[in-house]
Amino acid sequence: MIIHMNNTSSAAVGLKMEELRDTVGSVALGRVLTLVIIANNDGGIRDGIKAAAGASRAHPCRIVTILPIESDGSRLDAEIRVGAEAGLSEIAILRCHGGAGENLETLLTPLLLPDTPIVVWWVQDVPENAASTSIGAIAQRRITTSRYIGDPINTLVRMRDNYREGDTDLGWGGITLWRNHLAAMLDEPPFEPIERARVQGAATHPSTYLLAGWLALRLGVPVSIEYNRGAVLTEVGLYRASGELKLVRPLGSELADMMRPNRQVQRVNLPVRTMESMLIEEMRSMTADIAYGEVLHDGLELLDIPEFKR
Amino acid sequence: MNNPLRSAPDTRLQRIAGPCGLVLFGITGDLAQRKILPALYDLANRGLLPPSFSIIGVARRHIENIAEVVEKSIRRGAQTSVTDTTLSQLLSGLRLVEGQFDDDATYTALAETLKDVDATRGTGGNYAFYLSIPPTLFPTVLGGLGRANLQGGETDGWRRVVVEKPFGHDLTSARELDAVVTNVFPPNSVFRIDHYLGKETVQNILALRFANELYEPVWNSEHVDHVQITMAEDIGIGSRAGYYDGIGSARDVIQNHLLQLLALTAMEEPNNFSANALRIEKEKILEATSFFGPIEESAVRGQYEAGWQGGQWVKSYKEEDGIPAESITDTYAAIRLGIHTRRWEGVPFYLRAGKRLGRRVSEIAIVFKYPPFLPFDSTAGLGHNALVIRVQPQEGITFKVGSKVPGSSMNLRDVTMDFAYGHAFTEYAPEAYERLILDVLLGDPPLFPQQREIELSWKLLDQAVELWESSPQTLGTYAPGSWGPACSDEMLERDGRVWRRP
Repeated sequence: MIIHMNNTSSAAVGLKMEELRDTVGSVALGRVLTLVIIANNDGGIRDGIKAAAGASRAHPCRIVTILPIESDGSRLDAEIRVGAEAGLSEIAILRCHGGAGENLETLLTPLLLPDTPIVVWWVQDVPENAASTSIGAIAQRRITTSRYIGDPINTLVRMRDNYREGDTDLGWGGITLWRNHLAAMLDEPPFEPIERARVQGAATHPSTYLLAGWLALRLGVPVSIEYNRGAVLTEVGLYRASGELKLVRPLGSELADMMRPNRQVQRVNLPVRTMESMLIEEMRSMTADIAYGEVLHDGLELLDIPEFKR
Repeated sequence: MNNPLRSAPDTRLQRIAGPCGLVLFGITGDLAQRKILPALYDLANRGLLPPSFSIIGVARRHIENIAEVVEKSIRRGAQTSVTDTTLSQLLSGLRLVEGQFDDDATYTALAETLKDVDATRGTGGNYAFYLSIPPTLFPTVLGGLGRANLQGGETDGWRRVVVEKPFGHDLTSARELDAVVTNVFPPNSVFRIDHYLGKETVQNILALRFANELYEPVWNSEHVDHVQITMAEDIGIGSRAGYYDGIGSARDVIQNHLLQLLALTAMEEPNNFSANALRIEKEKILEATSFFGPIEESAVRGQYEAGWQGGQWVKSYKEEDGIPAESITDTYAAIRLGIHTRRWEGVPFYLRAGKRLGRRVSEIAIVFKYPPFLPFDSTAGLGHNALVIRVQPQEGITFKVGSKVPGSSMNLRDVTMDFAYGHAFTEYAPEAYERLILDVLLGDPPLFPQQREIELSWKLLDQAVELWESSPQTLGTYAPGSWGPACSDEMLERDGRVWRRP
């Protein structure tokens, strides 16, 4: 069910949502958090809601989407979605024309679930300083999306300089599967020290640097970066005395080959992660992502990239 | 052996089992096909098994195409979506050893296969032996494993053994069985699977009790009137006649599932969630448990009769295929227990289990006392507060509280607050077998009952069974689709209580 409310206030939207809960019996009964999605355009709303509605099946939540629209006249237009369109969530989309987009915190307050965590997700962007934005300041978790910005090195530097506990980025969540497999490779004998490592990925994608920074920090060895022609990670190599461990995923493939000296090559599932699966992972924990903070702070500067040095 | 990539607090990296393999005795059996193989697939699909993971099936008869058999069972039973990648990866580590269980050559062949798997797949000598076979075969198989020295030494990785209930059919047989197993494997390498303990709701009993401030202060004889633990099935014994007759619902269900639920409900707070700390508390509570009052009044049972159930005519227990007409096996059993601790003295725990009952439901109901004083003119319509932990189906918690009936006068009635895990934690919860198998591979034993708990449970149950066998004339009967025999209702009536309709 979709309900449009034009030229309205967020308090009216909040009342309407409570009313719908009573009359149509919204499915989100035991909601565990409020997810605020901040988009830059309608494409962002669409992608954000699609991922969030799916993720709500793991973490039932209320989803509030905000799209500021530059305009001379000021007006708040809202759209409420419940039922089949909304997964296990209830969705409010707020299109804020002109001044209606000022003071976002007061816009949101009537729509926040009482006494449950707030997660804010900039679905296409990384704000200058996420934690000091009016919404970021009241949220437990701030998820940014650095990969669309196109200047990953300077963006990462900015994210590092402004990092506050509770910050996280989908560029980090995107490499969990790679990290799982790499860690699993080192669970197996022989337990020799790693001497150096290399990462092959896209120059334009922040994940390339985050994965390299993670390896440099945890292994304490030099990590080199090779650039491919694609948009995602393609290969990681770890050198040991007995040979090189390799995890190789050709561009366009969902499978990676795990190659180890004197062992048969093993195929592993390594799909490019969907927004939905990354969001499910993000919403699992409401505490600071310590590992991410450490990689930003202490890992990136170990890489041979001048901008990261301090 | 410290993995530098796992050294930091990293909430995203998952607990993946280390390199290992699972040796599955009875790979074509019902349990393996319905539960174990699909659970292994789901684990692989969630990325929780190491790439080297291998399944080594041991079968008594020749199987033409084992990969096909395994694939079929996975496609039928897997909870997660079946993809060719995961499937082919899992099947690439599948081996089959064929041979009689009483033939030492079988175990020599198995040892050879394990060596080969170690070399080609890198399993590191780590194996769990899953005995998905009738318990009568345990001595044969364990003897074979022992003679081939497959239970492991210090140098070539860990070896564990997994057994399923029933853990014996009385105290003596449970001890014999344990002796057979621990004769070959050290006690800390034995994992006994009670799949109830792998259920999310059952683990949530611990979260509910010990992560909240609200419940613990009223969780005692001061406030609790009594506790009812129910496991009801609407179906009959089906094709299980051979196993079921002579065992009955008390030994089939109460001894393991229900007494474990009782222990988790009643036990004191463990110092931590290690296997040892949990075991200590569960043992303590089971040791303090006995029949509440004279046993003749605290243990009843019955058999279902023929009749119409939910629009269908069903046979009586005695008419089921393979059941002797003079059988006195209980298809319903209810017992009344008391726990002699400061917390629980005087609070009866009623446990019941049965087949052909009203509907399929498992639940724990904590029924509270009335408030000492009620300042209302009329309290008609006000029942006891009850906290109900619903184990299945629709895992969740309900809480029955008194409230005002809308209107100008102050009348009261009960309303139910209903919390379903389905809403809040949804479909991403793993199946019980998945969780338990992963715990075996990780060597994480908190959710597995220990031998002493099993012996304590049998000590209780044996008293009831002895009484019933010595007085067959007290066997009650009940209509299919009802909630059990009259003698069970009478047992509560004598105490001024009634069974909840679950």
